[in-house]
Amino acid sequence: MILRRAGRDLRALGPRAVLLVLAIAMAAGTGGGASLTFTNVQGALDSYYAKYHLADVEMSLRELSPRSELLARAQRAGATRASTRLVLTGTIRTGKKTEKATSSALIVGMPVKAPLDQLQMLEGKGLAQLGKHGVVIEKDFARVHHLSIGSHVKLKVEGLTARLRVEGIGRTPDSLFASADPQYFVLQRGSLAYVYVPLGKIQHAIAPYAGPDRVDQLLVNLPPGHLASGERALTKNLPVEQLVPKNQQPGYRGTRLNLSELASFTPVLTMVLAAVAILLIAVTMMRLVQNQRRELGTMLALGHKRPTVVLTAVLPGLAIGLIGGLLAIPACVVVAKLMANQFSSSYGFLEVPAKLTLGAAALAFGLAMVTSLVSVAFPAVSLSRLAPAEALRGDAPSSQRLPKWARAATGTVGAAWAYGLRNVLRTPVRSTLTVLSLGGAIGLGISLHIVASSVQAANDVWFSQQSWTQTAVLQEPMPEAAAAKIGERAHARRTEAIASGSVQLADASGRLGNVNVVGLPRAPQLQSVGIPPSGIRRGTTYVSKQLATQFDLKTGQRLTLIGPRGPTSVVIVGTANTIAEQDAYLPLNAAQGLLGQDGKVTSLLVEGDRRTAAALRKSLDVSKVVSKASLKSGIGYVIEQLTLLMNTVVAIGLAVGALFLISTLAMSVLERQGEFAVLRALGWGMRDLATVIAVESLVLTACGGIVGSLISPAIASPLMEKINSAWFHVSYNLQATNFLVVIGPALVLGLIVALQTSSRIARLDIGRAVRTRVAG
Amino acid sequence: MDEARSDAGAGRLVQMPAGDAADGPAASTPLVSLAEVEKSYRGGGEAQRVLAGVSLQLYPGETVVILGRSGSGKTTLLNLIGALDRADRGKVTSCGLDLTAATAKQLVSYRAKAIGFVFQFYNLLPTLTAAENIEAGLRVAGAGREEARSETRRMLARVGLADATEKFPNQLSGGEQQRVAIARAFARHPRLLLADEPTGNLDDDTAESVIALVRELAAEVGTGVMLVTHDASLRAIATRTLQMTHGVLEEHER
Repeated sequence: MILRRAGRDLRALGPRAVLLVLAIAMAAGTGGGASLTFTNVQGALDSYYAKYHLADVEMSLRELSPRSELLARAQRAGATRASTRLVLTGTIRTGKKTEKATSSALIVGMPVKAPLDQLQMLEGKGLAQLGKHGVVIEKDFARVHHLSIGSHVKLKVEGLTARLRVEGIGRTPDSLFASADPQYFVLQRGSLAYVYVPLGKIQHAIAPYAGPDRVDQLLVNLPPGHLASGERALTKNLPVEQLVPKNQQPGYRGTRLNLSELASFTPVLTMVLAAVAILLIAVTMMRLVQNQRRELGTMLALGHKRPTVVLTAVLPGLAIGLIGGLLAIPACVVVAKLMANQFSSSYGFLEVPAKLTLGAAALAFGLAMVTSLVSVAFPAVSLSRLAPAEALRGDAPSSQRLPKWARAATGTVGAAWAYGLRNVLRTPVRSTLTVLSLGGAIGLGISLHIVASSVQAANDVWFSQQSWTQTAVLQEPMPEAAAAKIGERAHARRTEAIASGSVQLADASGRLGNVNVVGLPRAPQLQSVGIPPSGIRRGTTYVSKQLATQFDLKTGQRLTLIGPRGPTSVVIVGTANTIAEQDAYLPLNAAQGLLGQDGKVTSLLVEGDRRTAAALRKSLDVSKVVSKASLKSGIGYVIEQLTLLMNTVVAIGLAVGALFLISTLAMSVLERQGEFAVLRALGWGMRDLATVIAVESLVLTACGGIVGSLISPAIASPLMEKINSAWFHVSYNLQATNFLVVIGPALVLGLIVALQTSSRIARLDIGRAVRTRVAG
Repeated sequence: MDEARSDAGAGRLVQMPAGDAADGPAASTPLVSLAEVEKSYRGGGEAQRVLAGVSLQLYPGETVVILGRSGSGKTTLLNLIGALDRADRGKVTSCGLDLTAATAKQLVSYRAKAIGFVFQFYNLLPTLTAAENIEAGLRVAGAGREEARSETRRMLARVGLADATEKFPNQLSGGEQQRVAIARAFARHPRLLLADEPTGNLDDDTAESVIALVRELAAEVGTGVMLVTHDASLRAIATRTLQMTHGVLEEHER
């Protein structure tokens, strides 16, 4: 009989039950979806790398070597798989000769059926079908530069220029990370082109001067536990320029870095959304039970036992919780898919399939059920403990006496405003929980915008401290005086030469990885990276924050830098304030010696104008020109993409909040049908009643906005800490727009919800509703 | 003028005989006029006729009591006159307004200014105090804040509840709640008071005092009263008594 009664009670709830189920599903599903996002993205990445066989180790040589010899060496080193490539560096032009259209390029000659770092074809022809001038272009680079099948590009390699046709679009696992030049840790989308051609074709092209069947890159997979010994065997007596294990491969590392940021933020996201879900479910379920107060009192008066009374009260709510919990599972998948899609499009990622995990499903369902159970059980047990007469008297708390100040304040406005305001004030528990729930959703949104604006502000500050306007990367190292002349010819106001190159990094425990050493003049004028005016002392180095984080380096630690001429010992004396990824700063002559480029420089920092930039680009001695403006806008683009991701989260959070508001107001209207009918009978027009609902909705939303504003810095804190430790120092930068951009839409949503709810009142059958006993 | 008698199935015309001033002042223009009004409701797929061609006139100052069992259609009649519902057929005119043709705005104004309601279950707003329940009605009728407060205090004193100003409905007894409801209705000096089973939830003594209050205030304010009830004893206050049976209205046999 109890079950039959519960079924009838559920049916009697009608649209309220549907609203509750939807609200629970969405709230709990969002909490679960947030954690599932991370799992799905991680899973997609792992699958991709496994499917396309990202090599365990990528070894680049300074000189070309016979392919067969390298493969034999790989076999001797115990490699389970091996592949060779020939990689040339150059530049690519995708349009008119402008800075934007010119990017660095890696021309990758690879086997048609490569066993490692396999080419995933996405469009057009594969390597085996390419025409004489056909190439395959990396997917994200093609997207950023609007290249499609049939587009033409100009490739410049070692002084030779070729006009080529895009006949295929694809990607390899080592190029996954959005075609970004790994020189900068913050993505410069489209700054680096991977151009794939068959190995044989490129070998044929260079054979006349390099010899037949030459390669300069070896990719291997080594058995687990044999990485170190395998690397030693591979590199012995070879002119190795770079040895990059998988976990240091820029694309792999970059994706992991972004995942770790997502991972650090996901728990915060999940907790906040889960808290919103809990409040939402708790408030609505408690109300559901409290509305049965008279019935429960009647049952007690009739002699029913307390457990029976509790069960009667609890069952409809549990049923709603159960259905909502079950719906939360697919909702979880939808939310995860939305967030993962936004994340992947922000980083030029792969598409992430929506996969449900047991953990996420359990989280979503559990959130719904546990919260529903606690929410209904608590008031049900409390009500069952009341004396029957008290229960029969109806809901007392809503008749709390309003404080004098509140009466005075609300009495100064019109009747409809006063009624609306007082309705909010007279249900303090319900209103507080609603405000907290809305505050959580709004606070989450504001916190994300705070992070974005803080990073943007730090970015702006850093760039404002740099006096250089362009960086000119030279075709090849040249004497400093010659490099200075390039600047003069380009009418630069000032120039500063630097020497940079890749060397290996080791410490007391052994080889750590690769690092880009940068030799700076004694007192750099154009570049500001936090080095004291006295310059860098010989035997010391300043490392970038990224490098320090990656290898857990500390000030005072001794490092060994291994260049072509052998090792050099340095001590870390500080951290450089730079956006560069893996830089270690040395005095200029120390870097030149380490790189085997005595007296030579590799890049020029230039202070000039557009004329300077154009002149530098025309120079045959310059391979690439990067302007400060484009670098800054590139980073701005990344922040913009991050903001889009955040806005997706904000939208979800606000949607949950809006659903909550709709559910609360709709239930409120349904419960107060008699009241509204009486008001209409008294002559209140629709405008007055709409005003009442709008006031309630907007007051709750505005208070939620205040709460959200107060808690937003705390929510932003974990992500800010992560950025501070992994990137560069970022201080909180609170701007009015951070708050307005979330609170504004929230208020608009509140108004829309109110108007929608008011339309319900318009549809009330007044004659019937006025006979409904007014609640209380 | 002879009384027109009711006839089941035919048009029903019940009106005050001219010159019969037994219980109230006669007036040439009816305050309320219903002509061949029909109303049906849909229930379980079938249309159920609740009012079957009812005709009625009520004059200013009259107190009309309509007796009838539950389900006879008396509340529906009241709802039509109170503009809480619309007739399917016929014409309803009240306080000079053709309710069947009026716009929504006109109906709102009519409910705000021309009529007062008293319900069986009092229907006080639970989140407002006794005083605020009355003020809510006055403010929407156009009274200023001070004026509303002053009139509220006066009405509460008039109904004997001067001490109940700050009390909430659930702190008042049934009789007290009904007196607040009556004060709310009369505070606006309505031309017409519509009362739906005003004593249905009260004991005999309380019911008597409530009805007496209605009668006194109606006389003071000059309000016409239409009261529907199943309690035949309330005939005593009526200038005219009518009987509603299955949607048919006829003169009550004394």
